[in-house]
Amino acid sequence: MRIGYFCLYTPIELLKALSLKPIRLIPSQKFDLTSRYFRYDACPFLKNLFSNLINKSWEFDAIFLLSLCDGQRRLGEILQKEINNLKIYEIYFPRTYNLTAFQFYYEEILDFIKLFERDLNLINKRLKEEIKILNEKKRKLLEIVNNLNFLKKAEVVKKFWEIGDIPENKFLEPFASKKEKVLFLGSYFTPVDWSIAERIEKYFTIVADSFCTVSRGIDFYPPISNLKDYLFFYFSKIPCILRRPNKIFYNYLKKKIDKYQINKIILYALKFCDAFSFEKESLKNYLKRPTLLIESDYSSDTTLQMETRIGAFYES
Amino acid sequence: MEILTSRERFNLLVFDETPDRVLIFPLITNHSAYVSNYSIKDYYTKGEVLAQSQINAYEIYQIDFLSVFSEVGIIAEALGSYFEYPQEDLPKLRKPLFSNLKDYWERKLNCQYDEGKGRLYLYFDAIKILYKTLGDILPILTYIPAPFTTLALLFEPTEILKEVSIPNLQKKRILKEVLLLITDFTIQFMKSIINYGALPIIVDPLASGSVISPKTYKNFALPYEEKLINYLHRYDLDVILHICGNTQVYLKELNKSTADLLSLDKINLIAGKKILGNKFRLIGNFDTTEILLLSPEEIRKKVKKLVLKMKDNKKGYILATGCEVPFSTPKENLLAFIEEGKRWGRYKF
Amino acid sequence: MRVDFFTWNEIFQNIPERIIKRYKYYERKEEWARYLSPPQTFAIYGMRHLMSLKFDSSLECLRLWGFIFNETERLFRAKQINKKIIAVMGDLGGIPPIIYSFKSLIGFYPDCLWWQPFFSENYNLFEVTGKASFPETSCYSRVIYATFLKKAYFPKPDLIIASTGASCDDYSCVMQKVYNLFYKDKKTEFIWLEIPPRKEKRESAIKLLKENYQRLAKILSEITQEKFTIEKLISGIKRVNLIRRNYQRLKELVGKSEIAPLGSLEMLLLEFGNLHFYSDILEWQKILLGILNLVRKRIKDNEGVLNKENKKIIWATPPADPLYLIYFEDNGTRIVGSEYIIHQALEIIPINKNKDPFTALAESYLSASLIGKTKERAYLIINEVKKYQAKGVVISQVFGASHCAYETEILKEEIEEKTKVPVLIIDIPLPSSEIPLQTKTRINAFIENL
Repeated sequence: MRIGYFCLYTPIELLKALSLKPIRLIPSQKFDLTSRYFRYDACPFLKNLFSNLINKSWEFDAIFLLSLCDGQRRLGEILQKEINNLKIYEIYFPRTYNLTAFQFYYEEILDFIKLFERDLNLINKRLKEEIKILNEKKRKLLEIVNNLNFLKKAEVVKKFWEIGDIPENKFLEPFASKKEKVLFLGSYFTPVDWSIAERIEKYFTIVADSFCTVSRGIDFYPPISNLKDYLFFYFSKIPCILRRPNKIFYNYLKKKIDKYQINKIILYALKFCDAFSFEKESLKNYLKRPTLLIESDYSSDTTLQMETRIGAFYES
Repeated sequence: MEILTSRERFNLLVFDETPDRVLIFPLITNHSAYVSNYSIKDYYTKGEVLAQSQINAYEIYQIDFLSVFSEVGIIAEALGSYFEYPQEDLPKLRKPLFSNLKDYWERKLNCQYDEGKGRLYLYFDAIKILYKTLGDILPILTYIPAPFTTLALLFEPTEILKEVSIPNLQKKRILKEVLLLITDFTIQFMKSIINYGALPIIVDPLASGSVISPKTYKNFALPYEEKLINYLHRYDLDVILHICGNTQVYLKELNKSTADLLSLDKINLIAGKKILGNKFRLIGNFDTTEILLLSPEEIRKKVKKLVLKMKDNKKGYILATGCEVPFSTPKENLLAFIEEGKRWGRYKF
Repeated sequence: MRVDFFTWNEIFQNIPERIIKRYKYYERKEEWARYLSPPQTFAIYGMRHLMSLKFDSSLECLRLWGFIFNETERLFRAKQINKKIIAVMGDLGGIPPIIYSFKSLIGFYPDCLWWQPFFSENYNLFEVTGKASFPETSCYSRVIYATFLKKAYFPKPDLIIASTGASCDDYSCVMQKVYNLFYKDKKTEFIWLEIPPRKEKRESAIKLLKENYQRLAKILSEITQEKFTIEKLISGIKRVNLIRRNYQRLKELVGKSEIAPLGSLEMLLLEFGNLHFYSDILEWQKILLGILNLVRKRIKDNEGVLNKENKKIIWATPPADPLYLIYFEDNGTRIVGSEYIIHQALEIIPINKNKDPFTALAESYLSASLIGKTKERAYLIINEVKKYQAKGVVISQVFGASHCAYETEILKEEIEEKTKVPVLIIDIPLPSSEIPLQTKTRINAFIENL
């Protein structure tokens, strides 16, 4: 069964161990068609994801949804109303680091597993294999993309999640730039947003990012262990700004800042994404770097304004 | 932008909490017309001019309170005393309603309250505009002449001051009767003020120690001030009592007041803090002649001294001028006063 | 009778002083503990919107208004008399019963301060959040951050409890910002609690909530240095249940009565009183009981506050601007039922001899409005429509609120399908002294068609 997902916390190794075929849903296009169940201030990413689903941008049989934000948590109900015969699996992923909350999540996953396989020993065995395979692939991928420019990196990583393997990489040129270095972070980053990165790279070099669709997705390697340890790694080690408190995410950023000696930060938030847009001041204060917030709802009329702001930020 | 609005700051003070800084309240009344280039006559006859002047003053000075006040004759006029309106000066008492107590006894006082009487409209019109414009961030103080002051303007002032200083029993009774009637009218006036969203501040300039004796104050001023205060306390409002001139001679009497905030003029406030400071939030008392005549630098020095000595007053402190800021006070003097007050008035917050 | 702002001032003149002085909070004797003040008092201190509202003219409701608007001062006074202040954020119902099991604790919801800009018709709190880089496109609840920064709406809490998870996101992000303010502050403890979703299998959610509550009881016991016992919790729950039960009775009486014995604004305030009892549970209990008795008497005397012909409607999601409720009532409707997204604060906590009280609290919490599917919330509204035979439903929305963005259309569809009554969706704009003309036209058209 082909199963679509988009959240980084999705236990893809487990999905594979259950003989499912995970497909990461990273929309490449912007469609205008939307559902009437989304109000005007719903998340632009979720609205565009929905449009891509309706336009059959991917072929899959089921969708695996986690609940890291309110929009994600409520998406299933809208999909159920709008798309016939789509199997929806909704799993609650904790926002806090409470251990009982982890137990809650673990039990949800156990119930999910039971829908496909009753033999937990078998799953544990297969899971270890899948973790090992994916970790190796991710490490290899990391080596390949490490020296690429940001957009190329994003493209290769996207391809990796789509095909589930290292993509063709013969003609990839290492990249060197003397422009000022920035850390680029923010909401779910898809090809629809790539023009923003292009505009940033007119002035800066994006030497590090924390997008779950780019670097954050390949920066972490679960232990080759049993199901519980594996899930606990996802629960406790992978940073996300939506977790409460989001300190691990900040520490992750700090390491990048120190490692790459970055002086400026560009925070990209999709409109109505409070999780990122609320954090501008905190980022600035905690990381002690000038921070620019740019917002987009995928509409083209915001792009020019954005470029002006990036230019001004460069001069500041 | 300061973190607190003046309202929030004032609220903290009356909750017995320490705000971010000392509140600043130079008593800017007709000086606001001066900085707005309005004629003084328009200021005390047109509510929209009074309001606009206050708005301008706020924009220039960033003070913590707005003031609605023309002069202390407002109630006496509404009750029937005749005031003249010079173009460039405050209203002048031309003909009091009564020449003496005998005259009162013969004609009596019509104290039927009506919002349309005299120039009461001036206050209502001004408050309505101010409340709508700035009422969300600034307290609007409306100066209410206390009964004794109104009494002195309903009669020939020299006559009545003589009467109150050595009254016989009969005169005492009549005086109390008039004062009660004035009190009732004043209460009705305050009720209207409250309806429009302003906080009444009771002023009793003619009950000053420079005008009357402590005994007269005790007999004819304090009890009626108290009635007004009691009325405002029914609403659980924080009552400000302002007395002009020298009150040093009856500080102990003043300590019996049930007001919550005392605004004082010509006294040694730093020494007065010891007597009054545990009970009242004190307001004062930069010399108004000095605010007019000193240089900004001299003002700064004096403000610093005053604020540093007063800001630790147990019940709280508001930096103010002792009385109204003189009409033609130079802007830079007042700016120096305010800036320095804000600078030295900071609390750990 | 429902009267305007100015009429209340007239009525107030006739209230004897002994009555004014009778009502005090925290059972204190000091003058500062008084709270029976008319709307004028609070208007003078900046609550400008009161001038546009209408109020019940009874002494019982004056007591209600005075008590509610006095809450900021009350919280400062609480701290001055050495009570510990617990800021409860995001959970909206499950935690206060535990807090009120301890003698020296006062719990309050900063969340409720989202009404502040509307009652004062003031943008300052929004401006402050703007300076802190909150976007204008986010929910009005962002102003809560500004109230923490200002330290003028409540004293510094001794503990901040932030509940997040299967709830609205905007507020979770506000809480994160508040956390950033406090995490270095050793004097204020900050704890995060997870709100699980309501799913078919309830055991795990109950287990998680129960663990939350047990952990919290332990922390509160440390803060107060007061020994926690199950008996204390049971007695705390009983106090809360008494209030919830009386509110349920009141709601049913008001909703089912032929006449309207109480206006919707007072009912909104009463419903929200179930959250944290406006920081004084004992006094709140008396106020609620007084109003319950008033309503009983009015029903007996057939004395309503609105026209008998007014059409019955249900209101969903609390309006940020209370003026809307008044406008609906003035124009021919009567709000007989509500779903103000705090259902978890209205249900009776099912304690009995055989049940651990923490489990009872957890079970009760699982009735929360926003932790399940939208369809389940729709069901709560549908129930109200049926129970009170309403002719229409109004859903008021908040721009930028995460739940509104995904649930409103589903709610409308479900309600219309199951009840066949019309549903009006209105947006509540930023604070203003008036309702926009276009919205008034839509409201009038809706009312005409009921």
